[in-house]
Amino acid sequence: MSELEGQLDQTLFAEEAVTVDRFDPEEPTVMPEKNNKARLYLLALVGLLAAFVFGGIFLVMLFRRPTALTSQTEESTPETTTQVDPLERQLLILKNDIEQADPLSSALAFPPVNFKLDLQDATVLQQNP
Amino acid sequence: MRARVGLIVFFLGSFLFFPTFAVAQDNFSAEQVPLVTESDVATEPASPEDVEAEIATLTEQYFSLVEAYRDTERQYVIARETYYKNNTLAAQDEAIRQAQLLMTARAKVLETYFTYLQKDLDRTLGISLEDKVLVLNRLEKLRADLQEAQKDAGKVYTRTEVSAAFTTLNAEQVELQTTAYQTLALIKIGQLQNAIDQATLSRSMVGTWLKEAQVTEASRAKKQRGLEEIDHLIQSAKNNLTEVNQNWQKQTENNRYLESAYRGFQEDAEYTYLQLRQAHAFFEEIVRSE
Repeated sequence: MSELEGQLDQTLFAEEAVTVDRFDPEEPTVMPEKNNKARLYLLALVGLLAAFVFGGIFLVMLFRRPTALTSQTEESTPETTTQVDPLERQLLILKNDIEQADPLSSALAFPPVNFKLDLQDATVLQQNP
Repeated sequence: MRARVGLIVFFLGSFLFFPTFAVAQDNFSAEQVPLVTESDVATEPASPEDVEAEIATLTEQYFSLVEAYRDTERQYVIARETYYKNNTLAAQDEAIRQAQLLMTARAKVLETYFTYLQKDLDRTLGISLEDKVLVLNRLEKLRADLQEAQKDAGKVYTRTEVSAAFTTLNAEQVELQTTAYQTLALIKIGQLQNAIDQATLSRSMVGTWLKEAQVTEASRAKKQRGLEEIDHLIQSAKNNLTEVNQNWQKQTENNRYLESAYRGFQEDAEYTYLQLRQAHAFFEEIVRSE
């Protein structure tokens, strides 16, 4: 049989060496201990890495937030606490105090309560209308 | 199993960052909300804002009580007129019941008003301590009497008792009005004195400013003359207020300081106010004009 014929003969393929091991369901599947430990270490490493990444994100957020607040405060400061001249401020205080002291502007007048209340005897009133 | 172990490791790893986070949170919250202990609140005097808010609440309360009093008085007058007309026991009972309500409403209005005056006087600067304490004590006594009157209002059961209670309350008019108008006048005296103090301080500040101001000599001389005019106005205001204060002292001894006396006070004190207003206008002119 020539080489070409041998290649075309499909029956020869079945006789060649078996590439897949036979699987016995009774045989217990024991993983090698070395392999198990390696996977555990790998998982731990991944967990730690993830923890570092999340931790890093927390830290970045934490440090950025006060900075943002500070910058906002700095931006708003010139608006709210505009440098008022102490002299102008004093004259404003004086103006307010004088207006408050106006003697004609009274806070609350005396209550309009009746000081002439009475309850007489109706019989006497009817006799002497 | 492997997944569980992985999760545990991840979970424990995350804890590495919690202490930092927690400390940062603590610091942040410490800056935002200052802790005030109960003892601090008890010992610290009320801030001007708190007093202002308290007075605003009292004013609101006062106006609603005045409205309630007016309604009660209207109801009492109707009940009394019905009793006078029909002269029945039922009508008399209703008139007595309305009289009790009226006495309570009147005492409440007056008590709130005197509480308001007490707070307003207490916060006013520029009053001599002696005068302040004297009037505050009077107000406190009146408030206590009015609280007592509210309790007693429910104890009158007969027409004669109501009539006697009304006579007593009507007789208190002079004392109540005298204390109220004296207090109002004293508050104004304090406010004017405070305004004079502020004017004196402003005079000193403007004087210092003028010495260093970049102005021409002619302008400086003109402003200096303005300051002399202000000195005269402040002195004049001081003299007038001293006189007004002395009059107030004299009249408080009489125990009769009614509305007419208060009107007289207002007219006298107006001069001080006008002098100060003029002084302020001159200050503005000196500082602003070139």
